[in-house]
Amino acid sequence: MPIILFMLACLDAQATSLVSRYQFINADQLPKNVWVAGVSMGRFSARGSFNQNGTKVSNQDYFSKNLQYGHLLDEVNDPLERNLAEAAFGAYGRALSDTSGRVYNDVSVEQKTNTFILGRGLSHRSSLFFVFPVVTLSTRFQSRFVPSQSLSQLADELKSEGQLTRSREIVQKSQNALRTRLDENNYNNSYPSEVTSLANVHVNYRYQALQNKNFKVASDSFLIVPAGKKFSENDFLPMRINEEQLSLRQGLTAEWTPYRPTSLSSSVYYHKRFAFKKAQRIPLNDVSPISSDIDPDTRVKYGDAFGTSAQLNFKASQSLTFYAGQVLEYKLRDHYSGTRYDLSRYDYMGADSDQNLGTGYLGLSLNTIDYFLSQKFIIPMDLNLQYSFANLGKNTFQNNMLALNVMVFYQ
Amino acid sequence: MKIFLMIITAALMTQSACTQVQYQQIPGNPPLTQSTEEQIALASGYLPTIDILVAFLWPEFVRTPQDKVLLKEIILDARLLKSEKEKFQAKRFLLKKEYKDFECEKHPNDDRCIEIEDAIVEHDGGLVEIYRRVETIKQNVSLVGGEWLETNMDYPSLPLSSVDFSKASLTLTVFGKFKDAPLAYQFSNAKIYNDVGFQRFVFEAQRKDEQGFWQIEVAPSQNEFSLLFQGELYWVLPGKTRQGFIYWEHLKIYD
Repeated sequence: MPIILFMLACLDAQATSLVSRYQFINADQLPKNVWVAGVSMGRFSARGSFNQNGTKVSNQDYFSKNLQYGHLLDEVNDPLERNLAEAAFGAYGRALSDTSGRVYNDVSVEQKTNTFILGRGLSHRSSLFFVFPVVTLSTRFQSRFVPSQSLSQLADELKSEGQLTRSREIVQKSQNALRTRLDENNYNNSYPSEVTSLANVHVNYRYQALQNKNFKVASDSFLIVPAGKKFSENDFLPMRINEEQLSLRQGLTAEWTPYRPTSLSSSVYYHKRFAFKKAQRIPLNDVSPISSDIDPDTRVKYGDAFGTSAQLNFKASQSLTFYAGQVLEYKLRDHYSGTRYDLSRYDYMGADSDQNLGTGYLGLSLNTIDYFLSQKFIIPMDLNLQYSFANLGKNTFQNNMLALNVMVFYQ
Repeated sequence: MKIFLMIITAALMTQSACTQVQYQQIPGNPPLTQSTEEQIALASGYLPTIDILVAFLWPEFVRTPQDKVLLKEIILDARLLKSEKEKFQAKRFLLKKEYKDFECEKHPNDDRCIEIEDAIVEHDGGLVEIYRRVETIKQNVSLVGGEWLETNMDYPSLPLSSVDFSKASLTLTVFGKFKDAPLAYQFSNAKIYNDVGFQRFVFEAQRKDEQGFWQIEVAPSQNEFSLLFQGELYWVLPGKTRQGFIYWEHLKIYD
C-alpha cells in the first residue's frame, strides 16, 4: 500500500541531519482493521559533500581546515605553557595569524538502513503506524596535520639552536596530532567505525482529510521518540543517530489524478524540535571541536526542518507503477548556549549546521493487492525499488541511495 | 497468520535493534624507550667541566601584558646568549690556532706572538658582554616573578660544576642558595631515553632548601666549539610542578 512507502520517506536515518533517503508521496489510506508489516532496506555511501556555498567538494576538502599559530595556542591547556608558547612564537618571528599548517580529515560514510513497520487502519479515514529504523553506519576516518613551511622551519631552527626536545615536540604533534590532542583532553582515543542502532521510534497518525474521485488530501502527524545509541561528550566523533529529545512533525499531502493512468503528488512538512540540556565539550575556536572544557548543562536546540516535494506517477498496469520526483528540504541552524563559558564559544558548535538538500528519485512499485483480492496471487504485498540521488545541497553529504521495500498486508 | 507475522516482525526488530558498536583506535606516537646505554653519546672530545650554566624557574602565573613582553625578552636574550657565545668561541678558536701555528709557546717574545696574545686578552674582555646578557635574563626573570638559580658565575671561587660522561652523572657545585650560602647537588644515575636522532637525559635529586625534588630533562647537541645541554627544569612537589629552563655548555678540547 503506497501509504506505507510514504511514511518511510519521512524518516531521517541520521537524526537531525538532512541526508538523501527513500522518498515516496502518496495520499492513500489503510483500510479499517487491515494490518501491515514490512521492512525497507536502504543503502547509501557518502563519497562527497556540498559545502557552505552549495558546491560539490570531496569529503576531505569539506572536513579539512587551515590552522594558524593562534589555533595551536588554543590547544595548550596549561596557562603558563600557553604564555610561554606565545612568547616563543614571538621570539622566533611567528605572528599568531600566520599559517601553522592544515588538518586533513578523510571521511567516508556508508549507511545501511533496515526499517521495520507495523500499522493498522483504525477507521476508514485514520491509521496508526509504528516505525522502527535500524541503522548501521560504517565510518572510515583518518586525520593528519601537515605543518606549513613556517612551522617546519621553526622546528629546524629550534633543532639548530640545540632545542632538540622542543623541536621534536613540534614534529611529534604534527605526526599524530589528533591522538595527542585526544589524550591531552581526556577523550576516548577511538572512534566508532561501525555502529548498529535503532534510530528513534516514529509514531505516525494519518488522517485522510479529503477524498474524491480525482483528488485526495491527507494529514500526517508524527511523534518522534528518541531511541538508540547516544554518544557522550568524551567521544570526539559523535554521530547523531538519536534525536535526544521528543520532536513533532506535521505533514500535508495532496494527490491529483487529472488523467489516469498518471497522477501528480505533492507534500509539505515541518519538523519541530525542542531544546534540552546535555553535557557538551565547548570549543575554544571555530577550527577545532576538541576542548577540555565541559559544560554539563549546555542548552541544545537542534534546528527545525521543513520541506516540500513533487512526484509524478505513471500506472503502467494494475500492479505496476513507475514514478519520479524531486524533494527540497531545509534545516535551520543548531543553537547552543550556556552560562559556564563565553557565549561566542557556544556559537562555534552551531556553525555550518544550517542545511539544505535537494533529492531526485526514480522508482517502480509492484503491488499485488488487487490480484490477491481477485485470488490471482497468494499474498497481498507491495514491492518497491527506488534510486535516489542528491542533486543540490548545503552542508550535507552528497550521496546516492538504493532502497527496496517489502510490505505485507493482512486482516 | 497475523500473529505469526507480528512475531516475525518483533523478532527481526529486536535482533537488529540491539546496539552494536565497533571501535577503531586513533594511532598515536610510540612511548619513549629507555636506553640501556650508560654513557653520554657525543661526549668524546669535550671538557667534563661546565663552562656556563643558566637555570631558572618560570613564574607560576603570567598576569599582565608587560609580563608577556618580559617572557619574550627572556627567550630572545637566551637565544642571543647562545649565538654570541658561539661567535666568541669561534674567534677565540681562530686566535688560539694562530698562536699555536706561530709556535708562540716557544717564542713568546716574538712581535707577532705578542700581537696575538694582546688580541686574545682583548677578545676575552668580550666575555663581559656575555655575562651582562646573563644578568639581563636574571633581572627579567625576577621582574616576571620567576626564580633565578645561582651558579658558578655567582661564586667563581668554588670548583666548577661537571658531568661524568661515562656514568651520566651531574655534579652542580652551585645550584641555588639558601640564606646566602650556595647549595650543591649530585645528580646520579640519570635515566636515558632514546628519541629520534638524540638521547634525552632525566636527572633527579631531592631539593635541599624546599620540599620536593629537582628534575632536569635535557638533550645534548653539538656545535663546532661546544657541547650544549638544553631543556626543562622542574621543581616537583606533591600535587604541583613548577617549570623552568636550564642550559649548560662544555667546551671542546683542542690539541
